Amino acid sequence: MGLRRECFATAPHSFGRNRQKKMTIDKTLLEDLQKRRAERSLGGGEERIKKVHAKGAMTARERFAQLFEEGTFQEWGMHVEHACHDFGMEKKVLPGDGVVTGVGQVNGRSVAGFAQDFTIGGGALGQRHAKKICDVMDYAADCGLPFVAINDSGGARIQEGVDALSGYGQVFYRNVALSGLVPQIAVIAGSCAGGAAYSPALMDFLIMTRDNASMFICGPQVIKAATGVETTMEEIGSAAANAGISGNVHFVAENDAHAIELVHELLSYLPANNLDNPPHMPAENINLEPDPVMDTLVPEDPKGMMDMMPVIQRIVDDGKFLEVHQQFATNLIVGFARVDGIVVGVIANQPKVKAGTLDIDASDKGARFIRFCNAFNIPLLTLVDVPGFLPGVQQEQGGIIRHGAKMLFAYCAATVPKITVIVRKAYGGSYLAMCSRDMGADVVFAWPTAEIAVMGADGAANVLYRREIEAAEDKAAKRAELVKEYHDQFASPYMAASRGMITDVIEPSTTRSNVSLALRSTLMKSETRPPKKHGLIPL
Amino acid sequence: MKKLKITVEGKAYEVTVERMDDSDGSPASAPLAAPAPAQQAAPVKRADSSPRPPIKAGSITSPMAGVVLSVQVADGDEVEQEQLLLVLEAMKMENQIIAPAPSKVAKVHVKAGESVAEGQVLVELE
Repeated sequence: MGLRRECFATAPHSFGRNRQKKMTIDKTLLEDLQKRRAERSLGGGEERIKKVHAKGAMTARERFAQLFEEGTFQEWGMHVEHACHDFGMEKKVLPGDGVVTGVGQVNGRSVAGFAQDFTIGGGALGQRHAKKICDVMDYAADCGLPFVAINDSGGARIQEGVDALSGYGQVFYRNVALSGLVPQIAVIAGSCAGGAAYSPALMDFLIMTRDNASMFICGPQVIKAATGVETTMEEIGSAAANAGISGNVHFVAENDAHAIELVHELLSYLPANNLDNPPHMPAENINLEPDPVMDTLVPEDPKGMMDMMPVIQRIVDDGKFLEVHQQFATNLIVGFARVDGIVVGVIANQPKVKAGTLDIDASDKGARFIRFCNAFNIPLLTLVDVPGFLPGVQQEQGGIIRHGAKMLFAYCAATVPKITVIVRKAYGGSYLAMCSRDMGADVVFAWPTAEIAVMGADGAANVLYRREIEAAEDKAAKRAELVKEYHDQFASPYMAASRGMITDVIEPSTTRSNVSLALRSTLMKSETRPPKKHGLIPL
Repeated sequence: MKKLKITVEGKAYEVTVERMDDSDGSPASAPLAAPAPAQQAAPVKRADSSPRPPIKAGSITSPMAGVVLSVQVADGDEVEQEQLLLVLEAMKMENQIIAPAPSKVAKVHVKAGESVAEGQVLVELE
């Protein structure tokens, strides 16, 4: 900003009709501009800013100051006024109509965004407020810039009636237009209720601050009035509920500063748009050293409990893994990392939780993540230890068929590099759903501990040897013997490998280097499919 | 504060209602004494019961249907965070059910060999 003002003051304005006149800009004009800017930058005034700080929160401008590199933020529409002439609103001044919008630099890349200013009329959305957001969204779409939305608003400005409502509609329309074109990240840093919650819901990643934020469609009072059920904000609208129960939110931040840090971290793995490559930082030399610790991570007993997280951390660079949806459907782990500098999206079963089964929530979580990676050219690394889909009445009635189908659909539809490592169990339909060769995986590695089979030995023995078991004197002993026989013969990677379904069976210690080499060779992968409007993922 | 007239089973009661501050659940000021008949009408029926089973805080429930392989704690035991409570065999795995926080075992509801359903209370901690 400072630079620019200097230019204005000293540039030799020697063009035009008044060439002979000395063209130094009238100082009072500059002073007037500075005064206006200073006034507008104060938002709703010092009193209200103090209140925000007392809550332990930041103002809209402070959030943006943290998000963008110093001096790079170009604000749009600072001088915009609201458009309401009813209910005495015509006498009210709402600087910038309660929202800060513009473009700035994050880590040397341009990023567009808005931050609602709670100090100005509670950050309520009016017609001009919405127009400012739409303008900068259109710019992000045209220029291919990631979009960051910091939500902190009381909702629609009631005085503006249907104009405010229409404003939300126009923002939603652009959220969808931007979807799959540029990454969209929402920060819920304050209240985000009712229809307003659908704009972040249409975006790719939601980050919510733990203490000062709430997000819900109908609050406890409305729920009580409509259904008689008593509930609390903690139960339905808190960060914990949105991240852990409903899965609406992907990250919980301790405070505003942490939320912005998460935005930075997330952006560090994402391309600017769908035509751009993710910010790979390929290491000059691929590390081919074996990692003997990997040989010790699978318990001897195939039924033993295993934690998948150390496997992920030992494959990725410096153990650095940005887990997405950490509190939701924890039987599946998804997140971003790099392997020898190549950005990957990791999808892994977590046998520590629900035995690593795929259930409704895990399928939704996985499918959504896979589709994001595919839209933004991020290779997929899938780590498999899955015993099956979770059995249960709730699962069947809840539609595990159509939800589980999303996983299959997302993997089959993904044309980015797909690399799969089968660590342990890979049974039945869930084996297919974890990016088997048949789902178009480019490379499938299996550890010698892998068990790839149509079903578990117990179930298979019951079906295959029913007569023999019934005919036996000691049914239990015969059954145990046949189960063991089946397990020894079929619960290994070699049945699948003998049929060419596995690229190679590898020592766990060589997983990192094998994955890294496969990522390098698939980096230029291009797969074209016949054009169509869109596939019909079973929603 | 609002005055309302409520009719229960043909009897009319006059009650004074005060909106409570819902941020912390405590009333903004001391509740006003309601006229005597109103107290009889106090238990208000919920329009619809919540679909969720009433899970008490500290109840450890089964993450999926399976068979309890072994129980590692008894009533009254003090347990540490992440201490093994019991082993549940389900989905080709011996799943360890662990204590989420340091606590005392109030009651163990299952024994080894017992089949359990998803969501069934296994152990209550306090």
